[in-house]
Amino acid sequence: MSKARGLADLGNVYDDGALSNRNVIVNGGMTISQRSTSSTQTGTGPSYATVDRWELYRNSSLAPNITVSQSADAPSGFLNSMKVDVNATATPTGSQNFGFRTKIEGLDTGRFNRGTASAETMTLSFYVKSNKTGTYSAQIFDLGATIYSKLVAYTIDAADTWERKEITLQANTNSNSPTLSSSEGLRIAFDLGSGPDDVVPIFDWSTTYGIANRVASGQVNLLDSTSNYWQITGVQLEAGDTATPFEHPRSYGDELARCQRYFERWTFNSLFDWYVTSTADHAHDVDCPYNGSFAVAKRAIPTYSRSGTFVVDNLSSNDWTPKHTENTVNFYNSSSAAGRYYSYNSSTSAYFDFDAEL
Amino acid sequence: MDIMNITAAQYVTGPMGGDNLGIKATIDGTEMSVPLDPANRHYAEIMRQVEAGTLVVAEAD
Repeated sequence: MSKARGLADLGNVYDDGALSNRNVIVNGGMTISQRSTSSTQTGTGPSYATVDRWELYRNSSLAPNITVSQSADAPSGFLNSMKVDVNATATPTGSQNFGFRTKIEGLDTGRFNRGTASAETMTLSFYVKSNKTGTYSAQIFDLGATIYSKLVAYTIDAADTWERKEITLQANTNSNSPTLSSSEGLRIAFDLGSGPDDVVPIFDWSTTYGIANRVASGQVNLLDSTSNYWQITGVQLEAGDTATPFEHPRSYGDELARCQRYFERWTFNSLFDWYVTSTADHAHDVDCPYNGSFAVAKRAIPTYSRSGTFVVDNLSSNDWTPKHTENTVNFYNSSSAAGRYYSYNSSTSAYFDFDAEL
Repeated sequence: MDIMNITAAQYVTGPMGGDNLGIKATIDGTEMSVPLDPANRHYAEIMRQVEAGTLVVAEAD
């Protein structure tokens, strides 16, 4: 994009009310990857595999064998993209769907005046690259008392080349009680292969399909060759009818914090991190050295899981249970025995995960 | 609909028993402690599957 074009677009967006903080997508530049930088996926159902805020979806028992990674291959001005490599071929059948989506919290969507006659036009822009040219689909969901969705198509015209796509989404002026809370307000799904039952002509805002995925006629099946890959970055959703230059976060730390509202990993790099001695008085929670506060308050009380082996002496089970809020986590053990308690990590790659994703 | 695979769901109580504090469940192969927060996606999915009759959450020990 030329500097003159960029300035013109910014002038245009000024009229739409925002010169900064235009992009409601979190981690659209794919720079944050707390969970992993590469993950081979063979299961079905939803999964956050690598890049924060981007959820792999696979349904109706479709279990594509793919590798999802945070790639350093990106357009000029970007550090990263999210990449999907196909490890085994598959042909989606029936209503099977496969793709990636991001969910936008309702609290961040007030600027769009959703659910009113004065709803704003939105513009979606992104950079995409694949060896496989052709038609691809994106579906935008507008959630509330009634769920609307809109199906659009884009084409990848040249193989192995970064292309920028700009899609203006006509305002959804239908009356609705949109989700404006900390629950899901908007969803953008990029399809990479679906069964024939879900292929339809592109459509404007409609309640016909509810939260179900649909894809445009001609949608590529990325899974038809193990040579196939698809990459995306620079995803931006903003108010107005003009795609402005991608709004990079002010810093890596700022973007990490935005992601940590939804997911936070605590890593522990040495053994014996958590040596705790406590006189057991089980009328009170046993103090644990890994009680603490989250780096960022969570959207909701998070789910806790862990990886690594945690050796606990003087307990009947290797178990610490969290009792936490959106801001803090406290652990207690379930033993009723008196004594001294020792807990330590026996792995240098152990971690705790706290998940408050939408 | 893409559905989480949830097994071995059981309520857990605090150190002295009493009210349920959360649900321990295996979700897509990972053991998780799920809070009783309707805004939590795992809890919402557990409740959806319970209402659908496809999942039972066991009482706490």
